[in-house]
Amino acid sequence: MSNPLQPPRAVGRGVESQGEVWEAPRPVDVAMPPKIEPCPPFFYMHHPNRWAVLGGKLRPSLGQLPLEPGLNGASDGDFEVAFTQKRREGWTIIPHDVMGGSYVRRHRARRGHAHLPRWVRVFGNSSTMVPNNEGPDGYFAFLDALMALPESHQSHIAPAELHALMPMADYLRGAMERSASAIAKDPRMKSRAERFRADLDVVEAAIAALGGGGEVLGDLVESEGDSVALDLEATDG
Amino acid sequence: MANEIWYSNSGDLVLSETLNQEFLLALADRGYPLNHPALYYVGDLQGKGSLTLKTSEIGWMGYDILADVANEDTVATQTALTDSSHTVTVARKAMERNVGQALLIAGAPLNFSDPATWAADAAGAAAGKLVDMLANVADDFTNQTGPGSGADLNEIDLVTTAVALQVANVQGRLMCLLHPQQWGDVQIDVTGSAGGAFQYSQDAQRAMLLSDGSYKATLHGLIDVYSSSRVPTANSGADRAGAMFGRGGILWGDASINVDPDARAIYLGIPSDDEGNVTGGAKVMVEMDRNPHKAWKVAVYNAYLGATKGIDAAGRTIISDA
Repeated sequence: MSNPLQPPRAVGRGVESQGEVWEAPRPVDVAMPPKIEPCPPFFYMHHPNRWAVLGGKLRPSLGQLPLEPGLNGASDGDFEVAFTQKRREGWTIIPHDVMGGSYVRRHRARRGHAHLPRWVRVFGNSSTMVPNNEGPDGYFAFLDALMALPESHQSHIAPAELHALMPMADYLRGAMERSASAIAKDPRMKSRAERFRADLDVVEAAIAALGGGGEVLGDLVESEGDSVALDLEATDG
Repeated sequence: MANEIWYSNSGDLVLSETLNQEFLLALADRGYPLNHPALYYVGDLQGKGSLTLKTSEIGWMGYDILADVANEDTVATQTALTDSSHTVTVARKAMERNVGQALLIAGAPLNFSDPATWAADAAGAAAGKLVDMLANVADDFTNQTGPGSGADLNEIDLVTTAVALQVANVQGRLMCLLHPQQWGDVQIDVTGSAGGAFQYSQDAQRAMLLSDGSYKATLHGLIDVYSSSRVPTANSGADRAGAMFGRGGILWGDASINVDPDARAIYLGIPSDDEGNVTGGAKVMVEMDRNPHKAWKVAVYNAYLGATKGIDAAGRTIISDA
C-alpha cells in the first residue's frame, strides 16, 4: 500500500528524479541603515589652541582630518600634502591605532558608508547620533589617555598653555556675565550662567596652576624678549 | 442581492493603485551656498598642466610698515617678505545610476529619456558634494569660539566670533556656515530673549523668521548666515562644528571636463560665446551608456572638485550643541 505522504515513485525505465530542495524565498533583509550621510575615514588631530571643557575637565578639542581626495590638497591615494599642511599649522595627527584598535568605525549610511568615531552610536532608520563620552571606554577617557602618553610619544598632548587658556577664560567670563545679567529678564539664563561659571572655574584653575605665566611647553615657545636698555636722552636728541 | 458592482469587488475592472505622474522629492539638503564672496574660487584647472594649484599668500601692501630710523643717514632695515601658500587639488567625484529596461518599458514619473532629468540630478549631486567638501574643511580652523560642548549657540556667540575675526584684520563680508541645529538655537535665543539692542533691530526681526533654503539671515550688517546639514559633528557626535570666515579662509577649485565628441554625454555648465559656440569644458558631465547583457541604461556623473582651508586666521570654528 502506497504511503500518501510520499510522492509516487517513478516507474518503468525512467530514473527516479530526487529533485532539488526548494526553499521559499527568505524575507528580504529589512534592517534599515541609519539615516546618516556618508563621510570619509579621518584622522583625529590636535592643535595647541583648541581646548574645551568636556565633562567638567579641560580636554583637547580635536579636529578631524578627512581622508578624501580633493580635500586639503590630497590627491587620489596620496594624503601627504594634507598631512604636511596640517603639521605646518601646528596640528598633531593622531594615528588610528594610537590606543590599540582603530578609533574609526564604518557604518552603513543612506548610501555608501559613514566613518564615525568609535564612541558614536547610531541606530537603524534614525539620524540620531548618541555619543558615548563618559566611562572607562568613553571618548573622554581616550582624550585623557592621549594626555597621559609619555612626552616622547608622537601623539602625546601637552597640557593647555596660557595662550589658549586666556582667550577661553575671557570668552567664558563675558558669556557668564552677560547670562547672569539677563536672568532678571529671562530666567532661562540662570542655567546658562551657571554652566559658564562652572566652565570658567575649570579654566581659571588651569591658569592658576600655570602661575598665570609659567613655562610654556610644546612647540609654541614663550618668547621672553630681549632686554633693552632705553637711552631716553639719545632718543630725544 | 449579490450582483452589485462595487469598487471593492471589481478587481478585474480597476487597479489597486495607480501612479501619480507628479512626484514628491525625498527630503535632502538642497542648499548650495557657493556664491558668497568669502569663498575664494582659485579657478578652473582645465589645461593648467596639473590638477593641483598653489595660491600664494603674501605679506604685501601694508603687511609691513615703515620702520623708524634714528638719523637721516641710518641704513634702512632690511625686511623679509612674509609668504605662505595654500594648495587646492581637484579630484574626481562620481556617481553611477543604472535603470533597468523593464522600468523604462513600464514607465515611471521620472522621464529617463529626457536629458533634463539627468541634468537636474547630476547638478544637485555635484553641488551638494562641493558643499560637503567646504563644510569638511571649515571645521579645522585652529581658533575656535562658541559656547562650548553641549551648550546652545546664541547670537552673542556669533557677534563675538565676528569681532575676533575683525581683531585679526579679516576684511569684507563674513560667511557663517552652521548646522541647522546651531542656527535653530540662535533663532530660539533671539526669539525668547528680552532686552539688549539687538532684539529691536531689523536684523533680529529677520533672524526670527523661519526660512527655507540655505541662506538664513544677515546679522549686524556683516555676518551672512547659511545653514547646511553637511556641517560635521565634533566631540564624538555631541556637537556640531560650523565656522565663520572671511575671504581667503576657504579656497575651492574645479576642473572642467573636455567635451569629447566620442562620448554620448550631457554636459552641464559649459561656457559659450554670443553665437552659442562652446568655449570651454563642462563643470559636470553625465555620460550615458547601455549594458546590453543586463538590459539597463547607465548614467555616470563626473565632476572634478577640490577644497582646502586657506588663511587660518581668517576663520574660526564654532562648536556648539548638536
